[in-house]
Amino acid sequence: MKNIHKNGNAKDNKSRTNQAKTRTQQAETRSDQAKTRTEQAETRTEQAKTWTMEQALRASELSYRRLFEAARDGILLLDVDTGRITDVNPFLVELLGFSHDEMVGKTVGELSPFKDVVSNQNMLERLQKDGYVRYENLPLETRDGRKKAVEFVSNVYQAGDKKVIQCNVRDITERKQVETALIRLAAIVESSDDAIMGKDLNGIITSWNKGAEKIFGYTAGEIVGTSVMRLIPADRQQEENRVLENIKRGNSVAHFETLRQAKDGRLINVSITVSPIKDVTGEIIGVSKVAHDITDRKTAEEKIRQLNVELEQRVAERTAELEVANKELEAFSYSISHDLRAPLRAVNGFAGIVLEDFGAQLPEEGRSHLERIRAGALRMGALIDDLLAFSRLSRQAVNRQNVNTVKLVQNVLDELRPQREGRQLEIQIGNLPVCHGDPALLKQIWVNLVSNAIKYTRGREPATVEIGCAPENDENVFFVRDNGAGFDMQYANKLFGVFQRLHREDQFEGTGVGLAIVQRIVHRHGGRIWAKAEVNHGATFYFTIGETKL
Amino acid sequence: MNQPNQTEILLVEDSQDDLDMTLRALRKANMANHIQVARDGAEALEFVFCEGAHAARKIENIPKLIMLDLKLPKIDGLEVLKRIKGDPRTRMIPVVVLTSSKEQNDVIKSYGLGGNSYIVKPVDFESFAAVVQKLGMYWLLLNQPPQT
Repeated sequence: MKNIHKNGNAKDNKSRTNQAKTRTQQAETRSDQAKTRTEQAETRTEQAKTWTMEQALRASELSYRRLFEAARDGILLLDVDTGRITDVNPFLVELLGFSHDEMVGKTVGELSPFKDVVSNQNMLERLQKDGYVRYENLPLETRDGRKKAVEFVSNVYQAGDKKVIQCNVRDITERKQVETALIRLAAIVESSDDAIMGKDLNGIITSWNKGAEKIFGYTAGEIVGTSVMRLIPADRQQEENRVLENIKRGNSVAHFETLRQAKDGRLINVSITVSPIKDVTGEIIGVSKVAHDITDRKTAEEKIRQLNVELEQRVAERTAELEVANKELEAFSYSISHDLRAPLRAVNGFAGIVLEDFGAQLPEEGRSHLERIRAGALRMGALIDDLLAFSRLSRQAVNRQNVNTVKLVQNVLDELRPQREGRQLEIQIGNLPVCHGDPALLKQIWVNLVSNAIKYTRGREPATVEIGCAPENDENVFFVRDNGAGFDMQYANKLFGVFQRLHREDQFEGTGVGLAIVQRIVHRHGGRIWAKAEVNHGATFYFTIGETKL
Repeated sequence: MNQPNQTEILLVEDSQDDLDMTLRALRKANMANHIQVARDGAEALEFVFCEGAHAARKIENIPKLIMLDLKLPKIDGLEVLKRIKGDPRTRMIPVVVLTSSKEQNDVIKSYGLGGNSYIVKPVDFESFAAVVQKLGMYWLLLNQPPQT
């Protein structure tokens, strides 16, 4: 406030004029005072305004800061002139593994994750020119070596009186992985030789791979959006409806084989697997179908079937032939059995009658010759019997069962007691495992081998016969060893032939059929037989019966 | 017990040699008096069933024994056996199959058809004679047939 009253006692006129003047001045002064008051009020309003703006700005900055701090994207702020980092948000700190302090002050290019990828200078130039740079898929490595894919977007914007660069870094690693997996799956589907198609619940085809194109001849463009019935032969359309009904009801459909029709009308054998397609809520929205072309397999199967039929026919024919041959052989042996023996009986019988009725009238030599005639007939009878026994072996079925070898050999030794009568014979029996063969035939093997051993040790003192089994690889090898006459190994190949003998009849009697019978029995069991011997030092006969050791 | 001329043994044998040896063996054992010989299956059946040359014979007069060879002309021994054992009038007659064959099949079939014995003729003459004599002895003297 100003003091405006100065002189109260001046001359009248002058004084009045002065008074008027003074009043005017006073009025002016009042007016000025009012003006000042107004100005003061205005100033106060301005001040209030400024305060409010500051408040708002502060609030905005705060919420921006919040966004910056809480964003699920990485954010970098750069100085527009130097390109140096002025601020980094916590998400990026976490993503890259570098601390806030480590990053601030550096250029983006100086940060190792971006080093090779973003040339700082290049980015700055583009930003200054376009105000915007975007890298869609930037591979980078975090401080601890994890591979990440990011989307990198930079903007320049005006912040008050200066320009700022803001870079947003979005981690798209998971999205990329999902995309890659999808691409891979799509590639697998696309490159499959099988036809893979999708259809909706009305049977409208929704997807169609290259395999489907190859098998059925339709391109995806031709067939997607049309009904799957185009592929199904008229007489099988019900089958498709059944499948769709089952899928809609949530039932599983077992893999099945059927016929489909290609674009050119050919019928194709396919094996089909059908599965429901569900949406995220689990509702069935369609069907996926994988069809495998099994035409080749079907052709092969048909060929195998035909070959089998042919084979069976041939087997039947061959069996019939064999049956005929067998019948003939039977008739032949029957005839030998009856007809060959009758004359022998006559030879032996009438020589005997001559001896009986006229022996007294004959000289000694004559009687001796008649005896030889009788002996010859008997021997031939024995040969015929052995030959028949031998030929019977081929016709006889082999009935395999478990056989107690110890008991079997003991029975054989008991039966051969007459042969051992009066002999100094030492028989050693080793370990004899159970075997699986025809008991009667196995017994024949042991009878023949053991009786041979007894026969060919005649004259040995002491004579020894060793019976045993030596497992070899996976087989039981049975053997009969003696210390008898033995034989020369150069004739070993003749041992098992019918009527083959390595000793003279007057040394060791026999028909030469025994070992042939043994060999045939062994062979009928699928086994092997062989011998080792030395003249005057005994022989060993080995055999297996074609069974795997138990 | 024996009526005059009644057949005691029917010998069915086609081989003259075997026939002679069999008859000789029976003779030596004094059993050759009432023997009827048939040289094939047809002859054997004619005798048994009183047909043809034997039409006058009475079927009730059955022989005490039939010695039957298997391999016979016309009708073979197994067929003869079958007819005899298949007829109620004749099935009581003991039939001994006397043959050269050792075939198991023949043995089984013979017993299956009701044969009473199966004997393999030995090649050795003495054994053969002994077998024939023992057979005659057993069936004619020891065995007790049912009363007719």
